[in-house]
Amino acid sequence: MTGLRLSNIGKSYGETRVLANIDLDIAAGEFVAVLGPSGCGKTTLLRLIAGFDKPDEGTITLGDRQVAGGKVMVPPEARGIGIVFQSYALWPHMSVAENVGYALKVARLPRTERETRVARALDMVNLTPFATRRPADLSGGQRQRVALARCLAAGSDLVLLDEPLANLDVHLRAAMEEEFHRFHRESGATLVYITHDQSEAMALADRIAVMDKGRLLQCASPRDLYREPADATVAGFIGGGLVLPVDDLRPLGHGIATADLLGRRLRLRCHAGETARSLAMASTHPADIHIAAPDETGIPARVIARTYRGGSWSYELRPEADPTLKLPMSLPDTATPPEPGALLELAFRDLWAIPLADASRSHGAPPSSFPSPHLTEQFQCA
Amino acid sequence: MTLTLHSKGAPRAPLFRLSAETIVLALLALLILSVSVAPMLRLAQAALFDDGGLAVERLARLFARPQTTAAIWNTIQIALASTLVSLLVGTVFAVIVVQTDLPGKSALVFAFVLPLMIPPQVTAMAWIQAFSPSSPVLGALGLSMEAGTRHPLYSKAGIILLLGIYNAPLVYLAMQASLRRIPLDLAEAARAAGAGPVRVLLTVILPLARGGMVAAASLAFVSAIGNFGIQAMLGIPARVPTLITQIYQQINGLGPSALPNMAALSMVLTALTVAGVLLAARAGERNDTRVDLGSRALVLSPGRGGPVILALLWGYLVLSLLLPLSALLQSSLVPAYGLPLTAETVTLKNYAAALFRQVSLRDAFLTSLWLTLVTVGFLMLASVFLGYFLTWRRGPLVRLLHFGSEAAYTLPGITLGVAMILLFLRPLPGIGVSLYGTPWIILAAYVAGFLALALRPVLSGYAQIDRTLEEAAQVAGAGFLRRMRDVIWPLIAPTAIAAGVIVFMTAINEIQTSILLISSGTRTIGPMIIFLEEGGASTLAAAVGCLMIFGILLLMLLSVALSRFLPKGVLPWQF
Repeated sequence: MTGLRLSNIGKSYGETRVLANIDLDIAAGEFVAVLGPSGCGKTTLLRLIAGFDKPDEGTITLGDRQVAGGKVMVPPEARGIGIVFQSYALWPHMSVAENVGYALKVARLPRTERETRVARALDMVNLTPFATRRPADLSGGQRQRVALARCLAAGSDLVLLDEPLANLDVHLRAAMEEEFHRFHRESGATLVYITHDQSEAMALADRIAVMDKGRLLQCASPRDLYREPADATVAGFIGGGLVLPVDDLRPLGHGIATADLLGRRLRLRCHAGETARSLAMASTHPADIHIAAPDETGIPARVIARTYRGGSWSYELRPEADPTLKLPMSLPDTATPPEPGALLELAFRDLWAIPLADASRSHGAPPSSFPSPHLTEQFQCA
Repeated sequence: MTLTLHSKGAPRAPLFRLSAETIVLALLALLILSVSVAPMLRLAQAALFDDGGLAVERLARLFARPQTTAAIWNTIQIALASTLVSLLVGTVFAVIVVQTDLPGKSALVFAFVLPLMIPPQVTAMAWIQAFSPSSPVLGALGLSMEAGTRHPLYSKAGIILLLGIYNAPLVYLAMQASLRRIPLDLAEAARAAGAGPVRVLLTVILPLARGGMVAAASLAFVSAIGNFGIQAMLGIPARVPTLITQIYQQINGLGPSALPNMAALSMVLTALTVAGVLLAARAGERNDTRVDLGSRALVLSPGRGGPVILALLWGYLVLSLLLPLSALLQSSLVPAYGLPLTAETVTLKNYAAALFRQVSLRDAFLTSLWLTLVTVGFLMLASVFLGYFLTWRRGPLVRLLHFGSEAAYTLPGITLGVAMILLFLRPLPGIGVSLYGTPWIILAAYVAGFLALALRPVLSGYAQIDRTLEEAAQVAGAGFLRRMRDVIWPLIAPTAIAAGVIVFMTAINEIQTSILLISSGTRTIGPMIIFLEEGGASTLAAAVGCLMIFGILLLMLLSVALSRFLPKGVLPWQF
């Protein structure tokens, strides 16, 4: 079993800084997704872990062996990891069984053991009948499974998956997600799964590391990521989240705070160590906005537009207190939905106070330098 | 294979890793630097410096000589004029092949490109024999000239015409690639605007292809400057000195004492070549590069003009290919030059002599064969490795190696020959033996001169290999050489073999580098044509030339059979 530790990784190509200060600790057997838009540096991160590139700063440790950093640079062939490439990278001149057994051949395992392990790996991905075929004769999903079997047979403790579903049809994806779960269960390997698709990451990973512009913004379980984003970027990225400015944030203890939002005093969830401040950011999701109950004092907002979505109506609203804001809302199917122009009273089912350092950064202020223990804790989770 | 070297004092940390990859790169660097870069530097040094420093006086005397200025002027004139001929013929051909739907285009292309593969000295000999007063073909057609008339090709115009025709396929190849890249919708928009086929061609297609035309002109120009076979076969008897024939004759006549001055003339040749290449590069930069929208081209139907165009095309091919080659074939089948080919005169004794009886020819052929085979094997290996580095491990050193190999290929072979003599005339340090006069100097010249020729197709092969295939093997634990053997080689092999065939075809009949480097002990077959023709053994020379052409044809057909395994654009004669 091999865990993976990245400490303070930095990488530049010429003038372009592609990775900066990446700290990530992945436990043995964990399934971590690295999520971010294209160009965020996630592929560079994978290439550094695999050993195709050398980090400019920081160290990479596999298990208890340092493989990169300082004067150490273990080449990919000596790292003992498995990769499922986006293009699958199946050798076209070898049969399926030869592809799966190549690492074992390189390692000079005896023929009988090789054959047993290849047969077992092919059996696990249900490809036994295809052992003698060439990759060209297989479908996309089958090629994907050959790539998985290749990692299974090699017995890699750490497997990197580089957008493995990007080249597959939508209807195959659900089936392959199940395949990855099974692969994770049966191999017990540590999985690092690179993707730009958050629903994929949510469905598969124990934890998700969110990256943007070469930085690791947050690494947390899917639910924590959704409910307690560490900064405004994560909040806006995950689940179509909304980031709203609030005034006069006051923690009440036990992870609860109050703040002024659009002219109303509201309750928010917050970090245990949250501090009182006059300006803050709160995050919520469209699903958490609803029409206030008759006994509640809601936030007045006017309907700008509505669209029938089949089974529900989606609304665009403008709060009276701040006409520059637009709030989305979904209402159940009804014959008499509120008309555009109507004034509604809104309420929030859930609000989260975005922690300080990053909330201030998103206001354009320079990153604060004072220690914020809860943040460090969040970045180096597990 | 990782050798870890420990420094004496601190055995803990490896000082550096000497991986197989580093060793291979170091060997490639050593090879290219010593056979390509070092000779060039030595050439420049010998040309510009004497023992006493900068050789101002010697160079001033050299360039004051009338024969030097005549050679330079003739070279420029001939190269420019022949480039115009090539451009005209090649462009017309390219437009017709790419832009029309005439039948039998594959055969047309094959016949048009074939002469490019025939050694220029053989082409020159074929033309000389076809259009001489005692021409076997003209005679048969009742067109023979009066005996005693001066041969029309032994003139500056003859050289220009022949070089122009010889290099036309180069223009065709560059132009057809450029024409195919023109987006179809631009031509279609012009048609929709009411322009007829000819107007579309003149106002849209050709202006858009002008970048390709400049590149083609540069290719033809550089090739014309460096074409020894035609310039020597026609220019020496015609007393039209050019740079290339000057260098050959002076070194042949005066020996090593002529080397510094001839190195200087080689530098002039080099400067002209570089000027041609730079011109094309500059034009390429300013070219409007458009996205390739697929390989469809506008097809203009020539309609009723079709048969006329076809007749003209095939007529050109008959005149430029069939006529000379049939003259060559006829000469090779008669016992003495000038005899008509009849049932009584036909004989195979020239072929028997060429193949079996003439010891010098047989030896020359065997020398050429082993030199070529060693070159081919060596270059296939070197180009696969260098191609790997160029594609996936680019760095300053790799770029320098690429430049060195391209330079050695682009410069006229005679320049390389002079450079090789200069570098290897002196005994090698350590061994105390000079390579000059041995076959090894020829081998070194072939390796230097043809590396880029092998590298080009291999690079286009690499461009079509998915990098992750190699990375997957790396992750599976395979080291550099293992990956090369198990993954890279099986994927690049068809292209590397095609590259080998191309090098074989070029090296087996190579003339201008060899002609300077051969000695009485080691001759190659390429220059033998000139020696035989000079010695009056025209029929034997014709037989040798025919055998060369048969060999080339055989190899071309073989490579076409191989073509379905090849990526597009590897074989120039593949339509």
